[in-house]
Amino acid sequence: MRRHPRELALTVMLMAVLTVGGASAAASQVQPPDAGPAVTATLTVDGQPIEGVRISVRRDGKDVGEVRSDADGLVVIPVGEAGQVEVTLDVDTLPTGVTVAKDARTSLEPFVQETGRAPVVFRLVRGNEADVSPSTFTRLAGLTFSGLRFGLVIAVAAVGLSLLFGTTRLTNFAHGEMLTFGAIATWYLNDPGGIGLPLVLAAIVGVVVSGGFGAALELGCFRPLRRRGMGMMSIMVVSIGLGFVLRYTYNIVFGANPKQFAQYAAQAPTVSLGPVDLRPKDLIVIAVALVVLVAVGLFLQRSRLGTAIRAVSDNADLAASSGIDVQRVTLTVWILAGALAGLGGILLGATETVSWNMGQRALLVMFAAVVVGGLGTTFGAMVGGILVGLVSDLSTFWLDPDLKIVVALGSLIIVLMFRPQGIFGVRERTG
Amino acid sequence: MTGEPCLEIRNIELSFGGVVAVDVTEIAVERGSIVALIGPNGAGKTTLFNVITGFQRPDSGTWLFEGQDVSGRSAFALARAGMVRTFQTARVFPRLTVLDNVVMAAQGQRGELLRSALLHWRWRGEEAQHEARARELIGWAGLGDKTDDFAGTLSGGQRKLLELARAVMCAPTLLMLDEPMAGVNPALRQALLAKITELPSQGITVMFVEHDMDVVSAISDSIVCMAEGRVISVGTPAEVAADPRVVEAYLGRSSADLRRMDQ
Amino acid sequence: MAIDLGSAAIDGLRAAVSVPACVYALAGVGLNLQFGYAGLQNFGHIASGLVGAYGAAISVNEGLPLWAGVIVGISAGILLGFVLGLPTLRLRADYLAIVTISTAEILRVVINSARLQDVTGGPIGIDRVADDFYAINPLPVGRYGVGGFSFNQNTLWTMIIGWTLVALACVLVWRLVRSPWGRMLKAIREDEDAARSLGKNVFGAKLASLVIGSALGSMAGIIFILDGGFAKPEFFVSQVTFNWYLVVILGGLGTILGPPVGAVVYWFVIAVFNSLLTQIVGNDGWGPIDPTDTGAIRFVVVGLAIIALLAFRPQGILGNRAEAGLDDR
Repeated sequence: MRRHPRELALTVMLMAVLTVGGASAAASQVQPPDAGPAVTATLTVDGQPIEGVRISVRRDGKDVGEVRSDADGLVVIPVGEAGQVEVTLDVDTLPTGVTVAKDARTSLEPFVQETGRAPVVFRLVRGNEADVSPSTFTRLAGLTFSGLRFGLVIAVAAVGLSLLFGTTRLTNFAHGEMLTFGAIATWYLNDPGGIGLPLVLAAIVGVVVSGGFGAALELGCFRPLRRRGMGMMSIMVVSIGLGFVLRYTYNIVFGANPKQFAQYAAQAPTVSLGPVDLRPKDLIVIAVALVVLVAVGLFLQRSRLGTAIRAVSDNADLAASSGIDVQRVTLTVWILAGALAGLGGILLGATETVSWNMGQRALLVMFAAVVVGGLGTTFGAMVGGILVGLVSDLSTFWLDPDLKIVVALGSLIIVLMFRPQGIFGVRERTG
Repeated sequence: MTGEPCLEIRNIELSFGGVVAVDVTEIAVERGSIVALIGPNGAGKTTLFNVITGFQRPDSGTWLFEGQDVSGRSAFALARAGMVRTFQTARVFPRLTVLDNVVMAAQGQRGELLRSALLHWRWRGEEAQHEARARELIGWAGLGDKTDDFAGTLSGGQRKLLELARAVMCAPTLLMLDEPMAGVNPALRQALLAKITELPSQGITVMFVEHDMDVVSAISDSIVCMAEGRVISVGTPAEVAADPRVVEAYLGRSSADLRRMDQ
Repeated sequence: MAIDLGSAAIDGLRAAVSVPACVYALAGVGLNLQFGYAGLQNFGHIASGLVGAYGAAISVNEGLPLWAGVIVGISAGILLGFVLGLPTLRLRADYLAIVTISTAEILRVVINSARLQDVTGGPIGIDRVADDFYAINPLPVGRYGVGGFSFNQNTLWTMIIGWTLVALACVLVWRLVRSPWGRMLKAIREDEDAARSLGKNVFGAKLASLVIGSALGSMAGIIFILDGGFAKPEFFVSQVTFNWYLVVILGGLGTILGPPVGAVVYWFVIAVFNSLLTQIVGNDGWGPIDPTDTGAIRFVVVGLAIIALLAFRPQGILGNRAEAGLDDR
């Protein structure tokens, strides 16, 4: 490995590209029989299917089709061609005692792909319209959970960012694209028209491939540049250029439209946890993220490699003179960062959608998490992620949802002004 | 040597992670004198320098410069007030010429103010004056034939001389030299020493960190010896050399320590 | 497949002198001062364009004459420089990068939001900003130029004003850099602490660079919207900052004429590339590449160009390898 790093990098990159490319090539050739684009929905209340509800689909103002839900509450409406459509639930056809949840929409605009079915979810509850208003407490509780979930996912991805900064002093502006890589690679592995692995299996392979991607970036790009004596500021600008290249390559290969994983895409919120109803996948995502974060923490604290990583973070020269192979530690950190970022992308894709620029949108939130928690401290990245996620989701109680990023970044700036080292960071010597 | 001391340290404390780096009370530097700060590795000499000159914040402390309390002032403000320091490894500006290195050290340059920078007639005159003075100092430092070369091309010893010339260009009241001899070859040392001894006659008080006891004895008026962050002895070279505490602090150190490179 | 190199070349020449090129040049002069001379990593430079443009646009929208709007816009740029610099310049360099890019994003999202639509026009933006500007255009109505290389009178007028500003900005930076202030800035870039030990106000010099650069960026933003007379948030996305970085590095970091040269070369190459790519890909695509991918391909090329330049020729076109000093940054 030491003697032929370039070959290894090429091999790993080739493997990654082949996996992803092969999957997409396969996908574009095989078409399952009745996979014409269609909209689907399952109408249930408290787990019970509802029959006879009218769902209609329009495109550009023209009617495309309408169907009434069957005995299983199922609705399938073919839409003829891919594209954006408007799906409306006719509330007058709901049985008595069932109504649409407050603040839930009766009209949705999904994007239907060529080879797939776009699931939509209408949230229905028992009761009359009048008394279906989630209390403030319920809303806040719901936002707390979604914030916690989002924050944990960000934390998982941000830990790698923090580790990279700690060991290589690089602020990695391509980290978002490492997150996207995991999601997209898993999507191709999962795509029923392609390799078609079940999501969980695809995710595991996706994480492994993401780790390989991280290694490829280090061996193919950053290590050679460091060796040439390029300064850190320039390498940071290189990471920005790299981000561009990756992001728009994803755009070309994966397409501009967001897609979802084949399983668990639309789940009803069937898990009741006190005042909130969660989708099963929300809980799973939270659990996975927590487990991974704890595992990473233990790894860094207890294992030899983890200790070596922390030593290099504290003082690379000292670590080197103690016999630690700094290059090997750096490579390990890139693999770990890649895998974690990829996992973050998969979790994000499972709870929302997979898109070419999902990582770019998450990057700034990750920076906020790392800065708030303390640049270079892993525990800080975890806590910072959770805090930023909670604060930004809870803020939507008062502010518009599109201002969530403003809240996250605002927290970053405020922390930098009053406590630049973050919550867990160490005060730097002032000049 | 009567009157107010040029520099008076009342009390400075600084610890890192539980280890006391500096814990100093009562140091006074007389005007016009040359004071040496000595001590074994890790005694806290450079740290004390950093604190006094504003490059590092202490946990607590008060020190006076020319009778004024300057504790907590920033590094550049102290330099402007007349307290100029040099660094252990000579920090010249490699991509500026030797001449530029020295000229830029001139204080109170109107051309450095944004509002005058664009109006060249407002600083042409003073620039010519500064340049003349700079050439004088470069000659004094023995670097005359290197005037128009990039400072990056100078050897280690030459850089030390340049740094000295540059510091003197600031017309300081107190010049604080951090290991002025480090890395200078023996041939240049005498020259450097001679220049330092000339400084008090130009109205400059000098305080310097040094390891070589011969150098120290030769030129200092008084010596302050530190060990483990504290002052253990103050006095004339003869007094300090005879002080058993000083001998003990240096005991057990190899001679390499007394002339070494890093901190 | 017949490729018309001639029309591609004309597209290139036209783009090389047109308004976007001079906007990039002007913003580049500002960025070059901040990054090339002062060594500051401002990753939110587009924000200065945003506040300049919207400062002017909102003023005009609220009834002020354009000249007042321009003053508002440039003042906003100056204010932005202070707002960015005061809290962050005492912190580590990486933090400036993160804060600037965050601020740019915050400003764009706020201006884009529906909540403030009445004032900012939201995602749709504000139009009819440049009427006063066109009114004082001395050029008679018509097209000027030859064949494909021609411009209407308003665009040409904007180009004249724009490039004049670029020239003035270059002269300004040149005088600054050759003054004692400029020498001090150079020293600060080499070794901040050494500069401090000589009594130089490092913070003040960096802040001044940030503010001047931001003012120039705001002027660039105003010129940009004068071309079509309308401002939209989507013009001011973060990616543009990095196009500007490419321009400045390409021309030569820390050189006076680097930004205009970089801007002209950048737009020429991009336009020729676009033109050729569009011809090759046509309406049916070419191999795996669809017509809709051409925009994305351009970004991939920009990213690769940044990496290649920094790796193989960090001094750009006009720079000097020894002087560029990118090896230690």
